[in-house]
Amino acid sequence: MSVASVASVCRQMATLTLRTKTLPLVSSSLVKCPLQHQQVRWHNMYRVDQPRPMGRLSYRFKVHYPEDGQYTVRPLKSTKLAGRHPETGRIIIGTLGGGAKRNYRWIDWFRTGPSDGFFEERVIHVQYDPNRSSRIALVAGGEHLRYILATVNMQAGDLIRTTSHLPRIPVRPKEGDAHPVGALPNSTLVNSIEVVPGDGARFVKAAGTAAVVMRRVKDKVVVQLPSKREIALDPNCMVTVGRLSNLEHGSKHVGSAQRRRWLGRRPASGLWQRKDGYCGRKIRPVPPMITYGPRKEELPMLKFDLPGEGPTKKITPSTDRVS
Amino acid sequence: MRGTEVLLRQHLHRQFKTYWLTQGRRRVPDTGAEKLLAAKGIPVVDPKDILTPPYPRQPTLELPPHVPNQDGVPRNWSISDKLVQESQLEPCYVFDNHFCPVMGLPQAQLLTNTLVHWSLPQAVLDHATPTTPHEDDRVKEAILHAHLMDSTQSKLPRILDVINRPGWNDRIPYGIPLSRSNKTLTYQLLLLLDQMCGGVTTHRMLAENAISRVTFRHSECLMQFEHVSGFVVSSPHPLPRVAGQEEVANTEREPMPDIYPVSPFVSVLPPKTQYNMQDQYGVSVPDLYPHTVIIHNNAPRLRCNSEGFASMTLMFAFSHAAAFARMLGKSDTELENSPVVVQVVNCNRQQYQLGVLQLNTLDLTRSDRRNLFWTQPWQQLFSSCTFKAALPVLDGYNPEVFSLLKGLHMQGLAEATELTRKEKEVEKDGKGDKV
Repeated sequence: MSVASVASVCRQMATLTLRTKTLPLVSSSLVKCPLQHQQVRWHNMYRVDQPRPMGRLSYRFKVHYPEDGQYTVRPLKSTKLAGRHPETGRIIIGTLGGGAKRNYRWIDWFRTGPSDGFFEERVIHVQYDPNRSSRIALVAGGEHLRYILATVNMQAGDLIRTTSHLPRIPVRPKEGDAHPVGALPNSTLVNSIEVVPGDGARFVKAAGTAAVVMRRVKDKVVVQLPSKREIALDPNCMVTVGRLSNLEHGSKHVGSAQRRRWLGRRPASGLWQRKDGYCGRKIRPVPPMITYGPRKEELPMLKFDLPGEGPTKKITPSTDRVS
Repeated sequence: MRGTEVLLRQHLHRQFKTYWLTQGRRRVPDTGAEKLLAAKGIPVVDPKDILTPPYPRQPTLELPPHVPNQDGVPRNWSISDKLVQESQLEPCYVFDNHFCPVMGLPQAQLLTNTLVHWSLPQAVLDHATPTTPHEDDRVKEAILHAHLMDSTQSKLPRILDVINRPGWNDRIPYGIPLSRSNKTLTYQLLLLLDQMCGGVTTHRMLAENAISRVTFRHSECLMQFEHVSGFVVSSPHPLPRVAGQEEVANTEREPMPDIYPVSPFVSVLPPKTQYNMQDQYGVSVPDLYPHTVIIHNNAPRLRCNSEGFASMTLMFAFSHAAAFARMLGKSDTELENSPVVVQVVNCNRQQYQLGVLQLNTLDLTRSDRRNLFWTQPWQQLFSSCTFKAALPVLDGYNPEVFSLLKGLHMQGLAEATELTRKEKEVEKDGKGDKV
């Protein structure tokens, strides 16, 4: 019995029933999309489906969001994961571990406003956040409070606007305001960029970073990320104007090995040396532009399982351990 | 080479596991078979109806409902247990001792319909005579008594400095909890003030941990103040009004603060659906009027600035005055002739904020009549009180706080003196009759 034959057996398992007679109802010609095109072929399988709101996995800590799911500005409790997968417990990143216990500040990544006007919020204060490099701002509008990422010149008492209106002529941007990326003139510095409209900010969230609105190509707006990679976005994607706060974060030294431990990093072996360019510089071309469109509707993932036929115990995926 | 030798023998378990993991997860495309079958009139059945599980599910064991103690009183009884909460239909903004308005004093002003004057009333300042050296010694003794000379040793909350020392694990501090030292100090100071008045204030009554709860409808929102005070000093005479009727009528011209675009109800906590609708005033003895409300802020680290502290002071004073007015069933016209005047002392470990509130109206959206609050910036009673080289040391004592407390305590003293004189006369007459 070869590996290929096992694969073929597995491939047919999706269509197994307990019926002895084959039903002539569904003919093979009906299947327009062959099953092998729908397979998930991951051999480095540390991905396990995670429930919301912790959509994107973090191996540093797991946040205990409130049970009712309502947004709150109260600091949330978190559990340190030390590089482990939150479900399987396998080590994914070997250089993490220890460090100070942190409370999580829930940042509101959804700065979507009314499409025909704007709403205003007042900055109450700008504060330190242990879970991210940039400073965060507590803002209030109406009866609601929320945390957003603070831009460089944001101060207590500032009035910031949020709108989803996409005008014909570009607006004059003011730092801290949130607009659709299509509403901003070229060469505007932006942060907290959405990739899919209404999906929440994905790019440019680190301290002192900013992306630049470059040009318009057909129905897309091209934005250059801090890594110089260009992305083409839907004009309705929300962005915040300005550069993020805590500019000196990148130039600040950790100070000591012990402080590195406090920040949750485990000791690494070997002396790390920066490349000095003695043998020349490797010039790579700028990576190609990525075009983001609306998210495709994905079919639900099914997990086929037959008791007695499969492995005797639950499979925990193996990982590529870093250290 | 032997013919029987097995070459490249592998155990297939790992490969099988791998394939099982990858191929078991599939996205099955919609082939349109269901529609086709339905068009041909063939019923489509869910496979779960045919493929039954191999053995039936075990019935779950249901635990009996939780029964409290026989007398119905929880084991760790505390003040918070007194605050019975019932589920209500309408959500309500409940402002308690921990509520600190994020927009500071303007928010508290808009919630309570109050104008603020940044100086204490002249009547209080007139009585705030400078302290004598003897009084200073007594006050210093009281501070040392409360903060150091107490044999209580309990576990104190840790105060972490997460920014400068992340992960620093300090030893658990033991000592006198702030709730106890605040109580002791306030009690000692009140004792000292009473002694200075020469026995005239014997008719005043001291209530501890008095709860005041009062509910309002404020611009289509339901709002409740629920505050627990450290002490409430009550007196048989109401305090005289501070501002005359003309001055109260003039409040219409003075502008209220604007906190656009924030609503005055903005709070870290959402409106509650579990609360008690019953209004309550802590001192339920008839013919006693509130004189001074003393609030103890027992948080290990103060989370607000001076303005936030002032706004909390205003809310405390308003809640006690309004609860008292509600208990008497006073209407706005009655308040016009005899407003409720309450003095308030809000203290943290060292910080003291004093104020006087005159309640002119219970209608919080009314613009032609407003409540009035006189206060001044907070002051430190002392800067530090610790053991240094095994000796108790009190540094930076500020006598002005006690002189202002004297000024507050002396209010309404004329009526108290009159009452004492009358009682003495009656007593004398009674003795004369007996003789």
